[in-house]
Amino acid sequence: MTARRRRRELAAEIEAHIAERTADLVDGGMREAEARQQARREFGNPTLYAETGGEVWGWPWIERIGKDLRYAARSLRASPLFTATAVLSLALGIGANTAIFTLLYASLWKPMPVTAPQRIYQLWRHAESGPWTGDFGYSYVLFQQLKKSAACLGEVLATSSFGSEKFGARGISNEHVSGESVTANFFTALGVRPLLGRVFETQDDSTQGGRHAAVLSDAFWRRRFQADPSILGTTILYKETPYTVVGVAQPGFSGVEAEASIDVWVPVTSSVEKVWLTSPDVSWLRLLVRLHPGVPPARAQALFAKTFHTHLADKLMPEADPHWRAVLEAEHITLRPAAAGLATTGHRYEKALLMVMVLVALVLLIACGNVANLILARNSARRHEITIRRALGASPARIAGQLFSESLVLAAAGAAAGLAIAAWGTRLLISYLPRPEVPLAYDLRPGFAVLGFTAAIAIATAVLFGLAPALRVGKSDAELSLRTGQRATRASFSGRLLVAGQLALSLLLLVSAGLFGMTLRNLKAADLGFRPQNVVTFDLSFPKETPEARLLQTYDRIRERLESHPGVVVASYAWPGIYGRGGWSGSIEIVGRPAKPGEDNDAGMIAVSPDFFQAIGMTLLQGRYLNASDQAGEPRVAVVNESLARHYFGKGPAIGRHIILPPMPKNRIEIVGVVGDARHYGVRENIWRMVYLPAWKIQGDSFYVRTSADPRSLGGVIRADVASIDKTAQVENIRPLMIAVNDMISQERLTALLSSAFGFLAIVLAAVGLYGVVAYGVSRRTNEFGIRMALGAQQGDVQRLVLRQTVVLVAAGVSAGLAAAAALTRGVSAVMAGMLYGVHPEDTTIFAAAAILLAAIALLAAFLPARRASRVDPMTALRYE
Amino acid sequence: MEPPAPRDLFPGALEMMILQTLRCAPLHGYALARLIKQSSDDLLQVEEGSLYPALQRMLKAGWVSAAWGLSARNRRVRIYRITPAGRQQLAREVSSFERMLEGIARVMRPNES
Repeated sequence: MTARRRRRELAAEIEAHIAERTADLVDGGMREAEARQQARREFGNPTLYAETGGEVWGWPWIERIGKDLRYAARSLRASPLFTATAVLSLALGIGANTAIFTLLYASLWKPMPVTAPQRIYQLWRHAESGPWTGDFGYSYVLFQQLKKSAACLGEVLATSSFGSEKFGARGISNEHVSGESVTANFFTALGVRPLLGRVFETQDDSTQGGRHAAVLSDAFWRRRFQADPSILGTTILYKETPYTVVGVAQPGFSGVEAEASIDVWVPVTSSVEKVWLTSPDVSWLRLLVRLHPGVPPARAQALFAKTFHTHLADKLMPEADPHWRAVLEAEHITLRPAAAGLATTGHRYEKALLMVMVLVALVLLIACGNVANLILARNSARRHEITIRRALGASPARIAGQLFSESLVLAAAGAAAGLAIAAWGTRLLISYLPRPEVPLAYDLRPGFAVLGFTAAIAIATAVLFGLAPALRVGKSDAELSLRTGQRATRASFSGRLLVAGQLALSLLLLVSAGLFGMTLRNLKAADLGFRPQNVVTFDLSFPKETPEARLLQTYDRIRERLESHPGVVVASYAWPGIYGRGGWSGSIEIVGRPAKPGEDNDAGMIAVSPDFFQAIGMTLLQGRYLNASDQAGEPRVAVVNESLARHYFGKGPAIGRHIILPPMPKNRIEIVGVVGDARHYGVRENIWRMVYLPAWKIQGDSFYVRTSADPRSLGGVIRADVASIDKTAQVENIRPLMIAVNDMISQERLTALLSSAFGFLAIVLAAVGLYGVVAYGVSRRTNEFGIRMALGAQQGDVQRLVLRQTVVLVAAGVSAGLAAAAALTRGVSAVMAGMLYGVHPEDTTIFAAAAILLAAIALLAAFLPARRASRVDPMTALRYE
Repeated sequence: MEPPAPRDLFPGALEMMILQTLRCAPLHGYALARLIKQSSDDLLQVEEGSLYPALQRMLKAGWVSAAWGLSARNRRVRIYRITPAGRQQLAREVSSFERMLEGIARVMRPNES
């Protein structure tokens, strides 16, 4: 029997009951009409009893929620403007939160598809202080020691950093794949099974000639080989070396980097020179460990740290100079949870994203404030309807439940629209992250976690903006307002409190937007010591059997060919390239100046073609630049930078002095020029002492071409020139140098961009909220204003009356916001200091500007309804209900 | 939403009285209410607001069955009939009710036992 039928029968039964009673009363001598009334009165509320009676069956609770939700949807459809405003506010708030969460989740938290990912940790080797800060890799020797020492606690595995590698199979050989070199236990320790064939086994990475075996990822196997199982056992070319395909990894597994999708894995021992496996100085691996069940990470960390420091003390310290020793002493190992893998990019943007997550949570709070205000207004306009429903027997709780259902429906609609906004927003966000060599390949499909997060914040927002108003109405006395048309004239106190809170939160957002915006401005305006504008940079790669002597020739011919174009001012090449190409440094020696004990003699070195300085726009302070005649054989002359000259020679002359560099200890190199300091590695990096040598051989140099035209238009010319000179050469990473420079401040750019966007959103939401509250208050008081004006009040008086209240509101909101912002920036000043540049976290100008901007916009939002109030025609106003 | 405040003496009392009343003859709701009122000499007033939900509960529990029939006045009404399960339930409730009465009596008049 259906619930509906059951209820119908119950209603019929009740009707019969009343009819029987009526008949009894008539028999007792009462008049029919009177008897019917009496019977009804005695019975009470038939609809209610039919309802409660029907609820005995089945799931009244769920049925009632379903009914409430349907009713809510219907009543929201009836007021489209209210619904659209509320849903839009929520969609923006929820969408922003979901977008940031999606990115955080995909880049940092999404567990790898391996067995028990929560037991996987990264052996994170890093230094937070000392001469070098940042992350470090491990040598193969150190890996083996750590693996052996921790055998009873877990399985240590290693992987080398991924990158784009040359690939060939089935006759096609000019492809690129993303490849990863891994230890033989990589798959077994992670718990990744083969879909086909096998994964690596111990013999594959034997240091006595490991096998050239390759495992393909499932996605690559499907994409490139159309899931052809006969690929097993065939030979492919990887890094121009033949490998045998031994297996395909389990579907869904794409390596230990969330942002990379690996196509090919090969054993570490197969792909590198022998010295990489035997020297403790070559650090090129990153380490993960799967702890055995029940092993506390702290215990494992203690053991790893002990092994690590013993290794440093035995193998590295004895050979190290004081500077290098200081670097090593600052290093330590932390066991970092790596259920999501290494998450390199994620960790890089972690701070910015978490900061932005806080900001978007504030935006959502402001949006909730708006919706709560809308609902408060709507509920008081619906007081009549609610009173009638109470009189008809709905309990206060029932009405509260129904009103709250409306909030739930609103939140659900907002969440649905928010998901759409987030899908678009996340992609937009990622496009603002710098593009590394291998494009970021995050899995952004909204999975269980993202949908769960969105649902959770939707429910939380519904509770935030809907519960209080619903309970308030549910409690309000039914009888009071049934008496006709009684209306509250006082603007609701809670509404005003909400608006003040919104203003305070907006101010927080504005202040952070100001701080981060100023940081970005300072970074952009920072003097780099060279002019990256109008410079194009690109890399060249050659087949590895190309003789070294020919390379140098080819580079110079390409340089000359490029310079023959009218748009090109000067072309040059350098190794290592600047900005994101790594650094080369060593301890130098000054001829005739004994090193002081403990002195740091490290200097950065770059081997450059003669016109490098002009190409990237550095300034010559003393002596001369390098010229073509310097470039014959090993370097005899060098240019140094100002920092180096000042450190070693003070005010004395640097030109003519001699230095000795570690790569060529027999050569006394004469300083022929001093150039101004330049930040080659990042705006925030310290200035290094630098030595610029004439390039005497090619070791993977990058080109730098200064143009008078748009640097982006040069791509085709460069490719054509290179192809015309050497067909085997491949041009890679053509991009304006400005982009490389900007990539260095991408975290700051991201934070500044997002905090201004959300600051703007916040101020719009708060202004709309304020406008709504003032306008609503004015419309309720139309009557009162009519009376005032009829009694002689002028337009200005009424305007002042409305504005005075708003000024109090704005002042309260702004000062609360200022206090909160000051307290917050002080509270997290350590975090902030790392994220700001050239601006104090409590910068008074920014605080003042934010307060003035917010106050101005708030008063503007209030002025519009105030003006309308003052234009009320007294006669109309008095007739107004 | 809370159910209407129970006017029963204690939970289950109304159900017990309904079962007891139905033991003798099948009845429709109105007759049931009237009979309970009469047999208690007007001491107990069955609230309709409790009666119909209680009957629904008992239908669901299988203590009574219902069928549409005609009242003495020839009106279509639903007539309730006690089931064997209802009789067992009645016996259980009566015995526990008696035990409870006895307990209350001992507490109220401790010296007489």
